[in-house]
Amino acid sequence: MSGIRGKVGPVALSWKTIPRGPRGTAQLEIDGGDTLTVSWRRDMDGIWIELPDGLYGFDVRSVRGDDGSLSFDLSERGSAAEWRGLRFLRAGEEAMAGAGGAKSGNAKVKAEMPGKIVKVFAVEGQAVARGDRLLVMEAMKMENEILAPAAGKVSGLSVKPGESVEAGALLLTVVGGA
Amino acid sequence: MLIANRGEIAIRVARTARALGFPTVAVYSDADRFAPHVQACDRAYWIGASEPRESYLNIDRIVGVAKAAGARFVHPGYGFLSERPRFVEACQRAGLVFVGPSAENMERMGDKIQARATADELQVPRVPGSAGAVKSPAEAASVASKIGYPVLLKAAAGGGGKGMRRVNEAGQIAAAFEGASREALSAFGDGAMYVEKLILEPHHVEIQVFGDGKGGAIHLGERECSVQRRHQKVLEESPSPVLNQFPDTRPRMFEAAVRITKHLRYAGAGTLEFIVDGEGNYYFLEMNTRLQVEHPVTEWVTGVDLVAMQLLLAAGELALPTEGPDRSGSSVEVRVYAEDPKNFLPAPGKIGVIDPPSGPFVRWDSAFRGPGEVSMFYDPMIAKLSVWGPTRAEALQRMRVALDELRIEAPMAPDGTREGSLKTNLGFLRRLVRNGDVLAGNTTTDLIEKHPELKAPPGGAPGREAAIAAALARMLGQAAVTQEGESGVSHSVWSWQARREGARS
Repeated sequence: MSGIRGKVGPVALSWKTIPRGPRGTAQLEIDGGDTLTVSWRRDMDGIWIELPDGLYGFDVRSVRGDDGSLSFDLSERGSAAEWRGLRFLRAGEEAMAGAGGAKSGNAKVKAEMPGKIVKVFAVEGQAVARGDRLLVMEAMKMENEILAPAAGKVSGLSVKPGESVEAGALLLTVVGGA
Repeated sequence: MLIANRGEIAIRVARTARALGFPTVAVYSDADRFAPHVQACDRAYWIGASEPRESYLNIDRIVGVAKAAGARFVHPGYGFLSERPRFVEACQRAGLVFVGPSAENMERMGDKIQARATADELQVPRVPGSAGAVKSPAEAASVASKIGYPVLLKAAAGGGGKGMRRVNEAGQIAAAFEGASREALSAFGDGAMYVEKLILEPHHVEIQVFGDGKGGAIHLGERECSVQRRHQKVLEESPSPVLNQFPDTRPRMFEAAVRITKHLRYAGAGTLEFIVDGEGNYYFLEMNTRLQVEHPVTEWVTGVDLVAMQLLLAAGELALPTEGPDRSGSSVEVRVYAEDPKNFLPAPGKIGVIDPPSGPFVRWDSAFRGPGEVSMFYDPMIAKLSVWGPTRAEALQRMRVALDELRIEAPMAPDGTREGSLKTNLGFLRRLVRNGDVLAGNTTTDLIEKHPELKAPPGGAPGREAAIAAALARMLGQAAVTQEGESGVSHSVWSWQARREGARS
C-alpha cells in the first residue's frame, strides 16, 4: 500500500502506514528524515501521541470553514501553546486550498451576539478602509463599535438604528475586502 | 432565607446557609427553570420572565415570594438588587431581614458623589474630579480643563465599566460624553456623569470591611483587582502586590477604610475601593455595599466564610470581633467568562463539556456542571477559579496548573466540529498567568492593553508534534473521540472528506 504524503504548515509528513482507530501505531517520515514510529490514543478532548522521545498531549477542536473544509485548533496540554487553523493537506490539495483563499474578496460583517443597533455610520456603496467605524451596537448593556474588517465597499447594508438583531445576523458586506 | 439571585453566587450563599442550618429558598426566571441554583436550595419559586427586570429585578415579586415561603432573611448576592435601597426598604416593610447594610448606607455610598463627599468629610484622599454630577459635554470639558487631561468619565449611577470612557484630550470629550451618557442611561436609567483625573500607573486595591451597624467595624485585609478588561476585573488577589512594594501604605488604607465604615455605622459586608498609584499614594474611589464577586480570595487568606459572617451578624447570632482576622499566604482568583478574547465581547452559548480542575487549595465556584447554556440574558461569567499558596509565586503556579486542567467546550456536532456561539477566555487566562508582568506583580490596570499578545495565541508554524497531532485528527476522524471501543463503522472524517471532494479513497 502506498502511504499518504502531505503537509501541516511547513512540516512535511509521509505516512508509511495509514492511521486508523482511536488508538494505534503508524510509521512516519518527517521532512524527509528517518522513519519513526508514532503511537496515539484519542480521548474526549483530543489526542495523546507517543514519539521516540516522549509523550505529547493536545486538545483538538475541529473547525468547519465557510468552504466546508475542516481545520483544527490545537492547544498543547500543560502549556499555553495554541495553534489555530491547522490543516493536513495531502499532496495536490495545497493548490486547491490556495485558490480557495484567493478568490474570497468579500468580508461579511455579522452581529457577534444579539443586540440593538445604536448608530449606523456606514452608507451603502461607501468606500471604507480597514478599521473604519461601520456601526455601533449595544449588547449586554455595552456599546460596541463595529469596525471594517478590511478595505472595500459597503454593500447589502440591512440594518437601521433602533433595530434588534440576532446573533450571527449579516449586517453588511465589505466587497472587495480582504 | 430567600436568596434573591442566581448562578454561582446563589449556590455559594445556599451552601453556607445550609451549613448553618438555615432552610433556603431559591427564586428563578423562565430561563432558569431547573437551573443549578434552584437545585441547590430547599424550595424554589418562579418569579417571572427571563429578562432581569421581569424577575431578578422585580422587587414586589421577590418580596411577595419571600413572604409566601415564610422566609425571615433575604440575601441579595451581588448584582441585581444587591445595591438597591428600595429593595432593602421593601424587605423591611414586609418584616424581612435584609442581609446587608441599611437603605440609608446604601443610598449614601451607592451614589458616587455622596460617597466622595463622605470621604472628604473624613479627610480620606480621593482622586481630583468634579464636585458633583455633570450634565453636559461643555460642563465636563470645563472640569477636565481645570484638573488636566487625561480624565475619566464615569456614570454617576454606574459600575462594572458601563458608561465609562477615558478621554486623552479636549477634542474627544464631547463624543465620549455622549456615548458614555447614553450607555449609562440605558444601563442604569440615569445619564449623569462624573469627571475625574486619570491616575497614572494605577492599581485597583480594595479593602474588605464588616460593620455591626452600631459604629463598630473591622477590616479583613485587601484585594488587588488591577487586571481588568473593559473596566471589569478578570484576576483578583490578596495580598496586593503593589502594597507589598509600599508596606507603609497598607495600614493607612486599612485605617481609612475602617474610619469610613465606623462613621457610617455600616452594617454587614462592604468593600472600599481605592486607586493606588505608582508611588504608593492611595485615593478613595467608591464603596460597594454588598458581597463582592472576588470575596473568595479574602476567604482563602483569612479562613473566614464571609457569607456566614454576614448571616450570623444579620441574625444577631454573632458579635462583631474587635479585631480583623489574621491573614496568611496568598490567594489568586480568575474569572472564566463566555467571551471572545479577541475583543472581550460576550460570547454566550451552549456548553457541551465542562471539566473543572481540582487539587490542593483549588476552589471552583460555578453554576455549570456538564452540558448547559450560558444564557444571553445574564452575566456571561461561567466560573470563578481561586487558589491559595503560602506565597504569591506558589499560588500562581497552582493557578497555572488548574487552568491547564480546565476544559470548557461547546457541544459537538455529528461531524466532530463544535457548534454554537460559545467562546471562552480560557486560553487568555492560561497566557495571563504566565505573563511576566503578572508574575512580577507589575499589575497596573492597563496590563492587558500593554500586552496585546494575551488576546491571541502566538500562532506561527506548528512544531513536529502539533503537526502530527493535526494530521492524525484529520485522518482518524471524530468518531474515535466519542466512542471508547474500537468496533463499529468508521465515520472517519478522512473518508467523508474524500467522498465529499469526489476523490478516490
